Amino acid sequence: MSRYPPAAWPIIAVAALVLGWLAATAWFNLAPLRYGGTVEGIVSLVNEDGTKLCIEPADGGQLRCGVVYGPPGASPPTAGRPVAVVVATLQTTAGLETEIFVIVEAGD
Amino acid sequence: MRAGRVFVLIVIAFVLPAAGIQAAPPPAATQIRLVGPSEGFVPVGEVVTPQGAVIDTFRSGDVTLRVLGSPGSTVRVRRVSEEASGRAGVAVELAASRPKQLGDAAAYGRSGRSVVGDLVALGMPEEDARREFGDMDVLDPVGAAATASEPILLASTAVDPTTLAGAPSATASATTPYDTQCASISYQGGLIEGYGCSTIYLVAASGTDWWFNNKFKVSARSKDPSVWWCFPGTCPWRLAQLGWSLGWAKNNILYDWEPSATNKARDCSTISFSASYHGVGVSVGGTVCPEVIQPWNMSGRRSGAEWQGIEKGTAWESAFGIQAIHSPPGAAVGYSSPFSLVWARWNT
Repeated sequence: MSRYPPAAWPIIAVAALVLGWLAATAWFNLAPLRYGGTVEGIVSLVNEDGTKLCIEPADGGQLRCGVVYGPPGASPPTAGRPVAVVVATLQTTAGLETEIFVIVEAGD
Repeated sequence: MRAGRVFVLIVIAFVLPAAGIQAAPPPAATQIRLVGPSEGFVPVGEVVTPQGAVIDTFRSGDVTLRVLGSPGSTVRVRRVSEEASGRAGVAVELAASRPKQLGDAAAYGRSGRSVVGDLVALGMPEEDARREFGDMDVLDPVGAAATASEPILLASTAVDPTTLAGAPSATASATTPYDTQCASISYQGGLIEGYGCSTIYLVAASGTDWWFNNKFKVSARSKDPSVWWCFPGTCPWRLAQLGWSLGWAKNNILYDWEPSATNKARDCSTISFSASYHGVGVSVGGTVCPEVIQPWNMSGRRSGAEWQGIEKGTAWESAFGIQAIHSPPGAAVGYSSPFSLVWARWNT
């Protein structure tokens, strides 16, 4: 005899399906948005409207450039200021991914 | 580098093929002058096209570099060797300057030149030149022609011209290039070949306050056949990196660009970058195969695009981008196209 009431089985099935899907997408790297690390450094380049920037990493690595996503109302970073961003990989189409920068800390 | 694969990596950069145009006798002094250390490159021929452009050929060992530009342009060559990875290469920068006068701005249009024509003159097969670079002769092919099979629009931005100080009026030269810079590289007699161009468009001018929307592209391929297994040192030559950028003289300002981020390709995809800068659309596209196309050689006066990966097969790989430049009064109209091409032995 089942330990779960009959009404619970559809819920269990859906939950299993969702968990399976998440596990599969994680396994095959297909999640639409994935964490790609954190970059801290100095803003070296910002475009006209503040939606794109390049960062000189504090650890001396290669220049990193990305499209900026910041908190609502936040003013865009300016060149020469310190900044910390979370890098996320966004799946734009079936075969393409692009890196985006989520600003978590901007220097004054 | 991927573990588990055996190969010798050798990188050579920036070579231009000598095929295609009849070799002229080595010039005593080329009209496109080699500046800086020669790195073993010597001039081996010069041709002036019927439209007045100059093609100079330089050679060093198995590497041939051909550059096409206006008389008085300069070219700088630097060999790159990465002992740790076994890569080697050559970096090239083609530079030119023009008087900041509206009377001179239409000189290119009057010459009858075209990017495809220039690349054919450099030795690129015409069919390949039209397919790979046909969009370089038009400012905004994506915006002008929406087709049933539109490429994937990877980026599309618009900069409000009202946010730009002192917006000058658009000029008729928006649809005709202000100038182009093209070059080709050949290694081992064309076993690996690469072609690239910058196309500069003057889209607005008020006195000496000028605005440019530009595009650039480099396409290259290896003609070495693919193999699944090979001894070290005998694997076919494969492309590993392509980069092309467009930089400007002091006091010019880069105010927008594409690509703006690292874009990873799982499969070969046809993509385009499209934007409206200063109220004028500009776009460029091409096929990108794994691994990435990303910003390259960036600064406050320069932007570029780079493809990195390991080429499979013999199809063309490409890197391309667009940029917006403000040339305020006091800034000279001087520009250069630094680019690089890297290849290595690889068993794919």
